[in-house]
Amino acid sequence: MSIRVEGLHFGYPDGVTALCGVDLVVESGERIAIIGENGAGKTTLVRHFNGIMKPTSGRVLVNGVDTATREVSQLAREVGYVFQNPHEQLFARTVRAEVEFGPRNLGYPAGRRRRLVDWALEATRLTAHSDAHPYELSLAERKRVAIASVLAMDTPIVVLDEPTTGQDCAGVNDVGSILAQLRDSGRTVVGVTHDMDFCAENFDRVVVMARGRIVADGPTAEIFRDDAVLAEAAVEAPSMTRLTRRLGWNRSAITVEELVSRLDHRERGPSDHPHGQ
Amino acid sequence: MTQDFYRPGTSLIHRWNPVTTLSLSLTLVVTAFASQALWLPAALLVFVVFPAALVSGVFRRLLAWLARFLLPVILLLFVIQGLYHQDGPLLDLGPVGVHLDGVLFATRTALRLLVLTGAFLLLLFTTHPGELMTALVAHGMPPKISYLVSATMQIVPAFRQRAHSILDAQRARGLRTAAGPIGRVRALVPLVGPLVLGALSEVDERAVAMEARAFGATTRRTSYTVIADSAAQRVSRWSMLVITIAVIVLSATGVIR
Ligand SMILES: Nc1ncnc2c1ncn2[C@@H]1O[C@H](COP(=O)(O)OP(=O)(O)OP(=O)(O)O)[C@@H](O)[C@H]1O
Ligand SMILES: [Mg+2]
Repeated sequence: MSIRVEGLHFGYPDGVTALCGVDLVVESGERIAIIGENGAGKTTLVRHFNGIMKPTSGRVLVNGVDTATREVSQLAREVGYVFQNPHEQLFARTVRAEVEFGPRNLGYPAGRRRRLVDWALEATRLTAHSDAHPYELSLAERKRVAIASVLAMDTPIVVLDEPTTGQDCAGVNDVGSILAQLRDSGRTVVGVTHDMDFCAENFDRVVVMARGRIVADGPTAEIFRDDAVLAEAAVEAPSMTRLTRRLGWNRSAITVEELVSRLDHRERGPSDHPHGQ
Repeated sequence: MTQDFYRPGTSLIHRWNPVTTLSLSLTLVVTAFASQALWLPAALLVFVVFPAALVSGVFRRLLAWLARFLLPVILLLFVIQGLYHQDGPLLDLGPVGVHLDGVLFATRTALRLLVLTGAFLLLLFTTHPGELMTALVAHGMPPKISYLVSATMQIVPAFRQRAHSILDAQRARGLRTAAGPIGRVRALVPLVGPLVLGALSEVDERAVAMEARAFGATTRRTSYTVIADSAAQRVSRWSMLVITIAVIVLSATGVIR
């Protein structure tokens, strides 16, 4: 299940050109993050993946099929898209009905539907709220309802537009473990995020956008070590990168894991660094 | 819809203070209805409404909208005028003949409607609704009324936008919506609940936000956007007010008929 974007341009009806020439290939099973400052065009780009938006010019192919030739409801079988703003996505009377809406439309049999809904509610810690009205929940919980409602569709490609905004530590960890489960089951995951630590911990590849274009695209570890790119896109490096840089390491770390394992290595290995013990 | 009326422009009338344009419209309407004479509304139409529309570059749109709004009404008026008569028929066509006073009635009503609609279309075409509200508040209208009017005008586009995004969200989760207008309406029916609920919770939040920014304050407020005005316009507004009052008095006392 791959996504292929070729020479994509998109202008909003009011004249704003949001994308000017985007080329991108996301291979099956990849976990890629899209980062960039507000208004860079991230949301506009990922809304093309499930056909809600159609290119002004250029093409978007999902698994080889041009999205311009497909209904949004047909693409829903391949691509699940979690809206940036849960307000724009939720409409059902109960959390459970909301989460069940997708699998029901896709015609999944009752047994599979129940398993998927139960799993999605559990993964987003919403089981206790399954009879609540989405409007009664906090923004962070509503965002998790939006995520659950897409997870339950069991699509090969999952697009999450800022899944961690407003989430507390537990919520961010939930999203992290959902991403790990999706990876383990071979899904293609595209995430839009402003949380660089979350990005460094959970994505293997990073696409950097600025002013409607892709300005860098590569493995996470390389992108976050490229100061010029980060400056151009006006994003900050993850905190571990900034810390290890301040400490004067000549190759900075990206994640906590990496920092710890390299520290361990220094502790145990031959002392290349004069320190106390 | 409401936003479709106004288009920015640089003509004299576009540059007028919105209250001046509003005064002109009101004066035109009152005068057109004050007298039974046919020549008065006809003259207002030919010598005031049309030239003003020409000057502000909205003449063709004005004619198009007048035709769209009033043509059916006016045709109907001339058909039913036969029911409205006291003298004998000019032309006997059975129950709906052509009667002189019927035709007079139909013509008078048609001319009045043309002035009424023309005057307000002229106002809508050349005046930004937000500026009109600001100008009226600057002239002492309570801000609550201004808010009520502005909020009402915004609610339709806001609803439309939200309905659109929920429809997108539903299709993105596999809902097939039938093509054509009937399919769209059927898809919208289940949305009424969430739309109203969303609007209500928004109203609630907005009320708190507005109160927190002293919307209910009773002091006289200053305006962030200052809308241009001039001595000449003030004089002309006062003159229009005098004319309007005079017309009402003269017509009420039977001086003009
Ligand atoms: N519905 C719309 N109508 C007109 N212009 C829009 C619309 N939505 C977004 N834009 C404009 O398109 C550009 C790209 O917006 P987009 O939402 O894709 O950015 P983004 O990278 O997702 O930003 P954020 O980080 O704030 O979510 C911006 O200039 C924005 O103002
Ligand atoms: Mg966005």
